[in-house]
Amino acid sequence: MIASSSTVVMQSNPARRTRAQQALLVAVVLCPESVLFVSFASDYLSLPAYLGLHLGLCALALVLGRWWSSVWMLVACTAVAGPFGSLIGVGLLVAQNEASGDRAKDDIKGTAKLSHLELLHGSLRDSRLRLGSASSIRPLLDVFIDGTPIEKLDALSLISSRFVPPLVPALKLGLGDRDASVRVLSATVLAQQHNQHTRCIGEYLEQANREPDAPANWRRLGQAQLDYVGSGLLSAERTERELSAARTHLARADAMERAASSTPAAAYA
Amino acid sequence: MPEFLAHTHDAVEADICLIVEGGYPYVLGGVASWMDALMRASPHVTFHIIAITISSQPKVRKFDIPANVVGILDIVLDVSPAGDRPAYKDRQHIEQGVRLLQEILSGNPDSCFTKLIDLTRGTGLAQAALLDSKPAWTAMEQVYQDLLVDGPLVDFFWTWRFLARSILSIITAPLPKARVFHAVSTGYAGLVGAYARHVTGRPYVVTEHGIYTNERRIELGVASWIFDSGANGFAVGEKPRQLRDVWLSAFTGFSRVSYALADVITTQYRANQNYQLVDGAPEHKLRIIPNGIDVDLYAGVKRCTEPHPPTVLMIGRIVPIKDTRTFIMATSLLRELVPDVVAILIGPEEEDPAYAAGCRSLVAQLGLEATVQFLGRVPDVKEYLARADVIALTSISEAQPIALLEAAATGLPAVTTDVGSCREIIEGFADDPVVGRGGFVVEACNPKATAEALATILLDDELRASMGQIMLRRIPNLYHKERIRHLYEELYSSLEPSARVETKPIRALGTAGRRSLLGKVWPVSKDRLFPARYALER
Repeated sequence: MIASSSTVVMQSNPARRTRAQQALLVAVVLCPESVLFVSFASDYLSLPAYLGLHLGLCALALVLGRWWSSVWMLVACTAVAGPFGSLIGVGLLVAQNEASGDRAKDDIKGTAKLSHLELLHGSLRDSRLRLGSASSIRPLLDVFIDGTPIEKLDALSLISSRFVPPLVPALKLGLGDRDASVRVLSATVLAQQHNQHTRCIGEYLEQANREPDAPANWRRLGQAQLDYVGSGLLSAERTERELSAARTHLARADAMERAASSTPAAAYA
Repeated sequence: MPEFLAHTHDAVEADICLIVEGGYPYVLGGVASWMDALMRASPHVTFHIIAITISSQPKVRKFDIPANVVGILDIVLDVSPAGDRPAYKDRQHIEQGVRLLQEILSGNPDSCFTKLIDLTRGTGLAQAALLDSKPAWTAMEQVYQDLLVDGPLVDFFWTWRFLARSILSIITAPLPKARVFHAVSTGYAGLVGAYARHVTGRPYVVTEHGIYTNERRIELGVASWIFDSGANGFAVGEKPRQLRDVWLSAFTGFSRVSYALADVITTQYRANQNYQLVDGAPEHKLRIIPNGIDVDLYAGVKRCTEPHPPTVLMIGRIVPIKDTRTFIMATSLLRELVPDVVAILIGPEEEDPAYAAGCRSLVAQLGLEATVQFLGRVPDVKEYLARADVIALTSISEAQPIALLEAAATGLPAVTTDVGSCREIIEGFADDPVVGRGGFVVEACNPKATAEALATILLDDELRASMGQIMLRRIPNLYHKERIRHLYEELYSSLEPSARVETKPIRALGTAGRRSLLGKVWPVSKDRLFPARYALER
């Protein structure tokens, strides 16, 4: 799908460019050819001189337009039939260009009018849709039990980009894998997840210590610690400790909010 | 003191040309330090350095260049000479060139790399023809259909352009004169080595510290800058190709080119050889040469006998790959088992300041301010090795860490993750003359296991002493820098140039108006061919 649309884009630009080039061609080839022919017809030029200049002009057009395949056709027509040939060549070029423009339009229309079958085919092809039941998808944990090192590395890459707590056992299995690369990537992903939480908790702790009277700071800190607990990354002992700290901070935030709401000013408000 | 010359062709011939990607002398790191040590260990051998960079990388030298370095040449991957303006008759050559680039980047290069070199040198065609011309665009459309038909064209285009241009940049670069070319990784460095091997016939050695394709696979696995359509859901295995597969195929292709053209392929430890074999390295080319350290310097460190708190040392940059976070978490657990423990972190923090700040913040979260010390860089690490009781290394990935070898040489037991050759260093291997373990190997990202292993060593004086003794005996046996120096010098001297060495200066692509015939290149002005990026300076 991406490929076909990019093709459309690529075709449209040269088509626009071609019109300007055709005008240039008429100026560069047709005008001098006409002048030459008129000079020859008026006996200002001899036949050998006319032929020499005519062929020279064709060669020059070839050299100048060597990157443009359309020039070949124009030069060939001109060489055979002089200015009349140039006119025929330009006419052919215009016809060819219009045909390619129509094709591009058809392509664009065609993309919009994809049949259901084509849409289904596209969806299957880019894996947005899968055939078969859900049970045909291999659980990630199984990959760590009996997969190849490459499959395990692929799985770890997925876990890294789409981490959810139930995937922690897979990461821990990876830490004990026989393959050193798998162990390293498991450790990297695990450390990455830990670092995200500890960095976040560190920032909130710093903020809470800076402004200890703001209950929102303690609440954020406690919530971050709860998130860390919920990540499944911590050992049982560490979970207990982090949970206890989270409770303390949340309780502190509650107490501060209660105290703030029970002040006479707050009651009045 | 050798002088740096204005043009590589006029420079004196070096004994060895070391080729490095994204490292020495502009970036600090394990491989860069290894290169520095290698050159300093053999002052009678002259070296030329090819540093592969990109234009946005700051060219600030982080090392003092040793006196036996005769020149440094930068190859900038994202800058490539235009070459000759393509004519109509070049269409076939352009199509052929693009096809060859495609084969290399598809991971199955066979002889395509050498054919591409011959094509560009024979025709004078380069970026202007093979990347910027209309026929090249048409040919690239076909490559897109072949490699990533379901992916986004724009992303593919820029990926193709970077990868193809980097190859063109390499195969159009001038080469310094050297008796042996030695790439310190596969990848782009390996491509330069392979290019040098093909055009000069000089021997080419590739040394892999970590396995390049594996490292890139891991990087790409967690890279967020690569477009992922999400079309695969959670399916693994049979799936439409994604953009990261294009990058991976390219890096695999680079490694295969390196392996195919290298005379010798070395690595530091055995486990790496299995990966090299899988990636297509011929078995008869494989050798092991471990890292070397100044054993005498470190063995002379006197252990601190004065009473001091149990001390754990970690040496390394404060970056995610060293997993400093796990070390801090482990220290938190360790403090429950060894309450007066002190944990010292030695290493620069400027490479990833956000991560370093996160680590400091974690120390505060865990209330470890009195236990964990961040010392940054220190003038003499031996002073801290003398005071430490155990060294910890929690890295996610390593090859053969020098810091571990140096600590072990002082008789310090170690607790490391199961990465690189750490297990070999600590536990020995099948034919190891020194039997026994010099510490513990634990699972990565496991603070509990790390803390328990550290506590076991810290709480048992006898065990600690015996592990230290094992390390003291194992390290001089295998990792003495003199032994390693001999191994490299023997390797270099055993390599003879092939019969088809080009004795004339290498001419690259391009002619001033005249086309060159295939296999023959017309003399041209050097200034026109090699822009200022190749100028040498000290």
